[in-house]
Amino acid sequence: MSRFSFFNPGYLWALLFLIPVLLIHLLRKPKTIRLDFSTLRFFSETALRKRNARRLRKILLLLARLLAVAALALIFSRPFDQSNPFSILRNPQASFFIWVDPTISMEYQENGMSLRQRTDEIIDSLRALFPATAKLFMYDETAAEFAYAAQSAPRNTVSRYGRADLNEVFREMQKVQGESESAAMLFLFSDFQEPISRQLDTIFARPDTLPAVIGVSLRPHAPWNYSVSAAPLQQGTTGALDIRIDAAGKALDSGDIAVTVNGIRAGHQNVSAKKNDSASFYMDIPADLTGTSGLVTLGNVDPLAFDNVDYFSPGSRGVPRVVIVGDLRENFVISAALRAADANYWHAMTSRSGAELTYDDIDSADLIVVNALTSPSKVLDAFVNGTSMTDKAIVFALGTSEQSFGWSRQILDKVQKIPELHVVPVADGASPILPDTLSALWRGFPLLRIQEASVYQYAENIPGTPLLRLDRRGGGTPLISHFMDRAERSWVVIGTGLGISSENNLCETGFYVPLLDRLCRYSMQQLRTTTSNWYAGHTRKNPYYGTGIAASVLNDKGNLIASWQHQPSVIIDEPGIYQIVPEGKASYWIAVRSDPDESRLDYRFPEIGSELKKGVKLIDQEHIGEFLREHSTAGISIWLWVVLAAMLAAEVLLWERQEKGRRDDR
Amino acid sequence: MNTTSLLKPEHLAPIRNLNLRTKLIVEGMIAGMHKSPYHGFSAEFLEYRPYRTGESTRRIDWRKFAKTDRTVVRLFEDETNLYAHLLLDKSASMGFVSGNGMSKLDYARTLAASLSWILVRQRDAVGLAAFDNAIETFLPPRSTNVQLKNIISALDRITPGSQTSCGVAVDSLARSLHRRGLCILISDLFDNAEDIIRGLRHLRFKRQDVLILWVLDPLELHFDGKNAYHFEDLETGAKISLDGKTAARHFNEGFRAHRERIENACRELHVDLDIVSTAEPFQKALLRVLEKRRRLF
Repeated sequence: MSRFSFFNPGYLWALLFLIPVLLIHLLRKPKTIRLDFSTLRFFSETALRKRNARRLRKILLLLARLLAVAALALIFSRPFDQSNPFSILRNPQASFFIWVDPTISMEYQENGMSLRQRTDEIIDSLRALFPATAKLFMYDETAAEFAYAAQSAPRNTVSRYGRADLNEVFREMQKVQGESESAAMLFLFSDFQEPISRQLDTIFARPDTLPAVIGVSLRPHAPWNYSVSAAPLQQGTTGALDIRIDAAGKALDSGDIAVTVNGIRAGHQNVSAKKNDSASFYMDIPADLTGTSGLVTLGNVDPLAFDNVDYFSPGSRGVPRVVIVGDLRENFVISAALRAADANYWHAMTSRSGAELTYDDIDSADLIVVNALTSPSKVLDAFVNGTSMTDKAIVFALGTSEQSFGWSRQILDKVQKIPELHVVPVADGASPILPDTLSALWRGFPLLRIQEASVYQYAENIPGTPLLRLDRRGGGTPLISHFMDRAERSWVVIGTGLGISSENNLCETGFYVPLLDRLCRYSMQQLRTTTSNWYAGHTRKNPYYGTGIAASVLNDKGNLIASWQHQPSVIIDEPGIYQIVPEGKASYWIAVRSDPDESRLDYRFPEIGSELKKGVKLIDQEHIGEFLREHSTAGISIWLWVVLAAMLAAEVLLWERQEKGRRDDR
Repeated sequence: MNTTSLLKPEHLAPIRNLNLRTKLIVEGMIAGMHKSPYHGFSAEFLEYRPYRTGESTRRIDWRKFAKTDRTVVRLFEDETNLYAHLLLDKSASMGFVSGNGMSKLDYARTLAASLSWILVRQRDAVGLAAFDNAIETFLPPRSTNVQLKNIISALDRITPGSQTSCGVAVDSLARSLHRRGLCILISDLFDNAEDIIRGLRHLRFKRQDVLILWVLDPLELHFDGKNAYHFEDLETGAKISLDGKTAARHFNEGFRAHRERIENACRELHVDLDIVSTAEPFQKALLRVLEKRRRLF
């Protein structure tokens, strides 16, 4: 296949003009007469040389004219190198699609303007480099489609909370391109934070054909940011805030933290944090304000302002839906303990045996507690095998009884292979040892060692990061651990039974209720979108979907912003405190926060699959202009213009010489 | 009818019979002059003398015998007062003709035949030497009618030969001459100028009066090529292709230089040179020759 092709192949018909040029040249050639002449003695070598010179000049003149005509035809036909995917930049019929990262991280301020404003400037400057007749499409986030953009039309790109869906962008582009059937190029203007790059890793790894893509990185030059996050803690009637400050890229020497609850300033503190480190502290909430919502503010100025405020709502947030799977007799204490911990919070609970468990139970649950699995569960099996049911927290007790260990291990093996997992009996029992009494998980316990609790049998070598150990084997052997599986589900694994069992006496102790409450909350807190974490702009499941209950959503000023009825998923666009008012039930407040991923300054270019490497260009903002200029001007066209100019010069030169020769002859 | 018009070469060219052609030319010329046929040409009658036994009876005036019964012989002023040699170039180049006219050779031999006719009629001795690269045909000068017949017959048989060596031929003839006379060179002189001049010098040394009839085709007199030409040399066979302009420029320049050289040499050697175009009526050339004859003798 030829490497070169033409944008305007119709102009190649102009090459037919070579024929008349040739004909005129041939017809103007004088007739040659054969003459038997008396003598040739007067035709000297000079005559011969001049004849040869004239002949050569005529041939050169003809060649110059033919080449000039050919060069002109080729110039207008716009040749391009097919092997260069960026030759589209010179195609007058091409369509250029522009997507600007809509995420909130594009509000990063650098040199007096946000990355978004900088993007607008770059797009304006690049428009001049596109062919005048090319079409330009801008992605409209609101309509989720590409719209034709006139040269002078103002743009309406606004940052928003929430994730961008690049799969949708590529689909829309292919739809528009398919309708127009023109060559296309996609420009992606983004700071290429981790969530965007992760999506593009998948897209660029596809073997199917993608259009030419240019990714323009707006990454800040020396990024830095302070962010604050607050997690409410509630133990009984007292409340506290677990506040964390992250200082990325620059140390925070003196940070002013203020806490406002119900509009009342509840406290403030001065904090500092080292560069690329974080600082955490607890702030008690006055008893009379416990159970209400508020916000935490960092008073310092930094390039990203949105994450200097975090909202919290310690009261009854959205009720998690819990399904407890396993032997019903052994597991009733689990639901009882959770209700005892917080009846307002733990009240949507369902118990099922392994065999009775349904897909609906799993699908509608936010938290799955598995204990005493004495029979196989096809549903549970499918759940752990599949990756579609994300955003689930699991508290998985590896019961060590003969009846349950096998089934439970089978389930766990599908998630994490643990070859050395085995049951260890402890004749005299071993007590749990807390790692600390300060962290959110264990704060409030008086002692590290829970003496009243004894474990007589446990599974050793459970997977994950240890949360709680048994006082055994010198350093303590893990009894409870946590990990995130590949489907991003949060697993708290307990190496002993959680219900009524002979493996331990946990359910008989005062440790049991707070243990269950904290473990369940902890597991859910590790997820991004669970009942305990609402993120602005993120879609999540309607908590009342399938219940027949409708709910109204009001902002902190009491204005209705949404009604949740039958939709399976809902979204709240802006961070803040919102009141959820379900029909026939008590209302509650939720805190909608900004996505912490947007604050992490985790910039990287996506990985490009080897087949796509030629057609995808990832480039920094400083070099995009140069890159486009380089590819807008085709080497071929330049050479054709050079040929045309040279041929015209040759024509003039040869014609002048011919005239001089004629004058000399006269 | 204007007999002069009949003397144009293109009209005479179709007449293949040289004798007839010659007769037409000469008689036409004479008729056009309105004078005595032998005015200025003939030898004058002096007297009678008695016939001597053993003499040729050819010169007996039989009219006188008829009237007077006396056998007498007519005597002229100078029965053999001129020895003329006609040098005719028969080289291949003489075969050139442009257009529909007469070739140079044809023209030249017609001239030679006419001159022979005139000279013999006025009792001049005429000889013929036809040459290309050497003298091929040689008839020593005689003043008889038989000589005329022989000359015309020889001229008739002549065809274009090979390469010219005019100078060599002239030189060769000069060596054989011992008596003063008139040499009439009829040629296109397309030979090395120095060789020609050397030959002429030799003739002059041998006390010959020389008259050159430089016969040229009109195209050779002025080459004005408008087309491109593929030339082939009639003598050497060499070929060359040139556009008309280049060919014209170089030929005309070269011929001009050659002509100047020859003319200068002729002036220096007191050789009469007449350039004769094959388009020109024979009368003019003949008259020039005869004028020369008259001045010399």
